[in-house]
Amino acid sequence: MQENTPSINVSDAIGTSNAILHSFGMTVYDTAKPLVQENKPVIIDFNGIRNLTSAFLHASIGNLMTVNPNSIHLITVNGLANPEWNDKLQDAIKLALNPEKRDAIASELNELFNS
Amino acid sequence: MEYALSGDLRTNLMGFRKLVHLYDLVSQYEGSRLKLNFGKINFFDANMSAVLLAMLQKLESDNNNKIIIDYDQIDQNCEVLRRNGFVSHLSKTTEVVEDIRKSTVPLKTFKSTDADAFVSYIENDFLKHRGLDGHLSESAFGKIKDSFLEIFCNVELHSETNRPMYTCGQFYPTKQEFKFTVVDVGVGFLKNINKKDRAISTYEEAIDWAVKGNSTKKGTTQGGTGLSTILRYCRSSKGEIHIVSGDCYWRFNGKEIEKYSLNKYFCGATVHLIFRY
Repeated sequence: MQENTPSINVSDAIGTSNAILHSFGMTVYDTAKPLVQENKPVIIDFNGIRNLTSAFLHASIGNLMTVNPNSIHLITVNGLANPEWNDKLQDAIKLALNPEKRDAIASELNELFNS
Repeated sequence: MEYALSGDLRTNLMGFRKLVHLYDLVSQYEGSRLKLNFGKINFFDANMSAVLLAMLQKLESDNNNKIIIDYDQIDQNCEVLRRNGFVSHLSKTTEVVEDIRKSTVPLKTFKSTDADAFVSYIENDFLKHRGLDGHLSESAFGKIKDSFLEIFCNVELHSETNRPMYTCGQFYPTKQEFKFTVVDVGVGFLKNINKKDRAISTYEEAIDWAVKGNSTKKGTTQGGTGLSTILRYCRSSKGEIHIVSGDCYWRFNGKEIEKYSLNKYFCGATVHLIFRY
């Protein structure tokens, strides 16, 4: 990642420290999408975020992963304050890149449901 | 017309059936005046007022019905509905309500865009309420908060209504019980889930599908695991989660899942969470 890589601060982009709505995620997606489409690297910076949902991550990072086959190498995420947020991020990326992963998650939840 | 709510109105199938019966009857009228009688109420779970307020405001806006209430009856039989803000909402007054017993989580409404206000309510009014203080680990606090934020997202995405989400709670210190309710009056679980999977054709099946952690997020996105996380928490803590949508009353009672018919339909979705210590 070069020093002059464009950075999108999520809190600034959505105007709140609560990154919880799908529509907020789409705002970040819309902001970063032109860069990813042009095969340019971009940093998505979560510094300043207090609350984060999987819905937001699916709408933003998950959708960005489908924009360009090279997305995974173009997008850098930093500033995730909570280790569980990183798990949610990984789930969003896996689901976007590999929809079959969803079947494994469904199976795990079925066990919970029927136990 | 006059309608009397009577007996106990608790957070259970019978309590919900009473409210749905009221809604179903009054929704058949337009431009009418409904005198809602609270004189025969014996007991009212304050969190259930979120359901009642959602129904009454929908009857007023969709059917142009006028709801008339004798507030003295509320003060005499279920004054908790004044302490939790129900009376202020319904009478559209700016009365500042203070719950001197601090047993209620105030009745509030949130538009789908009120993200910051909803987060503050969940963090401060709900999860830091004295009724939960010391009973939730840091991990449980975070997971329950995240679950309700996911539910809020689902209302934004799927409810297909401009009407707000309604929330309310009540703490029973003697019984060591804490009840919390969220209500939306959108399209409910079935419509969007049926679009995703045509094999799912009943509300019962749709709730089952949603509780398994599935979601109908638009486009390629997935997510929305709020209900499955709450179910997991309830399994570990002997708590209860009840989900009502369409004609189905779905309940995890702390040990097992039960499903009942409401016999009538109510739009949207209601989620009750009951903590026990």
